[in-house]
Amino acid sequence: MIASLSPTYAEKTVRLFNHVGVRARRVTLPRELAEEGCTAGVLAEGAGREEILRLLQSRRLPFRRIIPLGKEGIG
Amino acid sequence: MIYFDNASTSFPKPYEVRRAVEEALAAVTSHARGVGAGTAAAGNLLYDLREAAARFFGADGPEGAVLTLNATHALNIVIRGVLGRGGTALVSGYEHNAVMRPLFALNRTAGVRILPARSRLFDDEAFLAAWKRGLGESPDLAILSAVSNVYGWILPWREAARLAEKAGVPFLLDASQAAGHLPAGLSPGVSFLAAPGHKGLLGPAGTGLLILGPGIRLPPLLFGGTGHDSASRDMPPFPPERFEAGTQNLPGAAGLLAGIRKVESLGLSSIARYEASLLALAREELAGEKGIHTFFAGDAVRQSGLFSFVLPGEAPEETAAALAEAGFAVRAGLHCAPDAHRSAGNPEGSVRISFSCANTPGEVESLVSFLRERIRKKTATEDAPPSKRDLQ
Repeated sequence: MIASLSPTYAEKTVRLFNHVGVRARRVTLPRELAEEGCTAGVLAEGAGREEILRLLQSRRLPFRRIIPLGKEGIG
Repeated sequence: MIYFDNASTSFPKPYEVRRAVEEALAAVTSHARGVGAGTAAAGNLLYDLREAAARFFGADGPEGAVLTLNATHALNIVIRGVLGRGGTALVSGYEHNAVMRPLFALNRTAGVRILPARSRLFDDEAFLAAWKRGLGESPDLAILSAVSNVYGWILPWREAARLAEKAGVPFLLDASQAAGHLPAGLSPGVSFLAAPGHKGLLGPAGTGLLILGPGIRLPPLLFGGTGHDSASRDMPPFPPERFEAGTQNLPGAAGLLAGIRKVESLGLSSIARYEASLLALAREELAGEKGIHTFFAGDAVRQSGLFSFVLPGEAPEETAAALAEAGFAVRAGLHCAPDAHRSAGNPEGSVRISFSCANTPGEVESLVSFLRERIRKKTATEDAPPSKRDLQ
């Protein structure tokens, strides 16, 4: 799961990921992350943390955190 | 009704725009607040609109497209953001109240100095010379209408923006009368662009855009909820949400998106050529006419699809009322731009005719016929020998 900085950046992230074949959708982040200011969440499936990081950095997409959610590399 | 008041708001709105508003009312709820299909649809809609607006005006990305109530709101964000604590603003002599009233207010509250680069109407060279002189006084913000809302003068805004950039002055382009009519965007030197959604972009009233150049930092104008970052006492640091407190006008956004797509499908250059042809027709018919004072540029490339005129001896409001009775919708008076009238040496106001791509040459001919007939009747009355009763 990616904690984005804003709804616009979250939507941009979703579209970029879907465009390059990584399934992604907007989600509401858990309360503890919302308290950090990360209420715009993106759930990306089928890509590991490194790939997610590479995609975000290559498009200069700002984000707060990448939170691993399971063994499958869902981030 | 023959509608010639498109500089106030475009009419009729395209079918696609009306349908998009209706569909949004039926399916879209609130953006970034809550969960569910309606919220997702709202998120998609706003993002699609930002992306379309960013592409249309040449912004780097959707985060550079701030949704506003209208162009006035967008102008206020920048004017108050840059000059809220004082400074100097450089403007042309042809700005409307959406620019001038915020500046006058800041003049009273923060001592903002207003520096007008005055010039004769349609005189690009004189304007640029005055603009250069103004830039020499190191203003904090330069603001320029791409097109005068009274006279249709296409000001040399690209050159003015380049000069401002060279002088290190942020440049705010007011595209109120250009967006959707003529190419206008974040050209070199343009730091911000303000546009209404309901004029040339064919969207509903209550919509507008502020387009930000890269790396822009401004304080917000309004403060409130954004649907995220709720624990923070401050507005988010990033655009566009930084400037968007409160729930957005989502049906309006849907209509504006449909409007931008309509303009793109028609082609901006085709629209510009077509509206220019309507202006050329009006000029051909009216420029040499006796009994009417028209304001046409000597050179067609300096004027957009709108012009002003007065019938000597008749108040513009009276002419407009007669036109309305005959089924024409126009605007008369000062057009929220008293400075533009003073600069053009026509301080009493004018009747304004403003075209859109929905007007036809036949409608222009109807206007010309009406005006010719009115001039003829007026002249006949003035030339008539006095009656016995007049002499008593």
